[in-house]
Amino acid sequence: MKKFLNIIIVVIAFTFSSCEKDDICANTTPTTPRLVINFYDRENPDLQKNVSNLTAKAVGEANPIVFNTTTSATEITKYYATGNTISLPLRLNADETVYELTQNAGEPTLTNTDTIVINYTKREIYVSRACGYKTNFRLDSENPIQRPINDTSEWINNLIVLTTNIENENETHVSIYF
Amino acid sequence: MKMKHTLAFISSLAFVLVSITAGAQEKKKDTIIPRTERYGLRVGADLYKIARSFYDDDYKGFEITADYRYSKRIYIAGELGNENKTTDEPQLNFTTKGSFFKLGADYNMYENWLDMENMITIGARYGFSSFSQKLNSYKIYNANPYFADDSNFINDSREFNGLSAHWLEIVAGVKAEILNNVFLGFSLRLNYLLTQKEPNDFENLYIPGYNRTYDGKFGVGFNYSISYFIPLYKKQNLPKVEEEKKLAN
Repeated sequence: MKKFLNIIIVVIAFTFSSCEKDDICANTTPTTPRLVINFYDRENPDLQKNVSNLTAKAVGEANPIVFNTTTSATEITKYYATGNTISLPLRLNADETVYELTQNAGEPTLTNTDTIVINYTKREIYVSRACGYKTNFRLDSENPIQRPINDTSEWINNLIVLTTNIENENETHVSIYF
Repeated sequence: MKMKHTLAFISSLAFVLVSITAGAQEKKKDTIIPRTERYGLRVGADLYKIARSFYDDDYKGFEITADYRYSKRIYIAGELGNENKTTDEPQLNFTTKGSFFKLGADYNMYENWLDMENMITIGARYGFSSFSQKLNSYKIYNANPYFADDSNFINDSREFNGLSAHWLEIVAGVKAEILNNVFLGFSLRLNYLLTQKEPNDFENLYIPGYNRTYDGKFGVGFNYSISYFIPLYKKQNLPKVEEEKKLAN
């Protein structure tokens, strides 16, 4: 009888312990990746360079991406990226995403906007019960990223696509020299 | 500890019986009335699956249970059933349809008094299921939502046929005779998945008979059965003391 009770306790304990783990999509689980861009110095291509108050706004969206999530960020500065890398989400319901990348945002004399057009195909991949599916991207082999010239002064000097397979955020996909 | 007590109880009971009969009847030697045990087939159904089919719109299923008394304590046992279940998760909605069977044995650990036939069992099963999964709709997980009109909900169904799974179960159960030959039973099961045939770009998140799958290979299950015992033959169980005496002679 004692043995039997022990078995029941083990079974019940197991039931409860196994309920939690796969019910929440963990942050560490690789899901739909963003396009990771690193910035380099045009004069010194081996050196990474910090952007100054860069905003990235997808054409068709009301607001730029929130890059600054620190508590000191204001309604304006929360859109500013200041490091040497940014990650851009791609549209899941289209085969291209157009971004306006603006350097020195908020400074009327210095501000400069360049446009990049990202062309890709999508593939849906099963992840897990809690996460569902994710989308991986493959950049177009002919025209992965286009830079339509829309003004006289382009701040982006050069843009190099390092990989066309956008499958995770652990690697850099694109290098921008400025 | 329990066994010792039981043995002590049986031997003292036998001793008392022997002395009583020896004192009362002089002509007959050692006429202990042997206990007659009934052997037969018990057939039933899982009440939980039947009840759930009524109250849960996303579930239709049944399970037939059966066991055959092989020896005093060992019962050959099995289950057979069919399930049609739609599972709705935040990211996924899918329907699993299929049949299963389980075959194994139960060992009755319970020492019945007189002619009672209640059971506390521990047992094992081998389980097999053949099924299909239909993914009704799903969502693309996006940890970084930005686009206002990003519909990540995809209402495009896909069907995966010809799937199967093999597993083992450890079963702990009780059965009590509530009416003549009618038993009410409950069992808890710990399942261990041996192999499975999985769909492409999806997963067997539910397997008929095995139930919900988890990250590892373990799963759990239970049933709540009502069954009817069909007696086939009777067998006399000689008390141990007399057997010992026979051996001594």
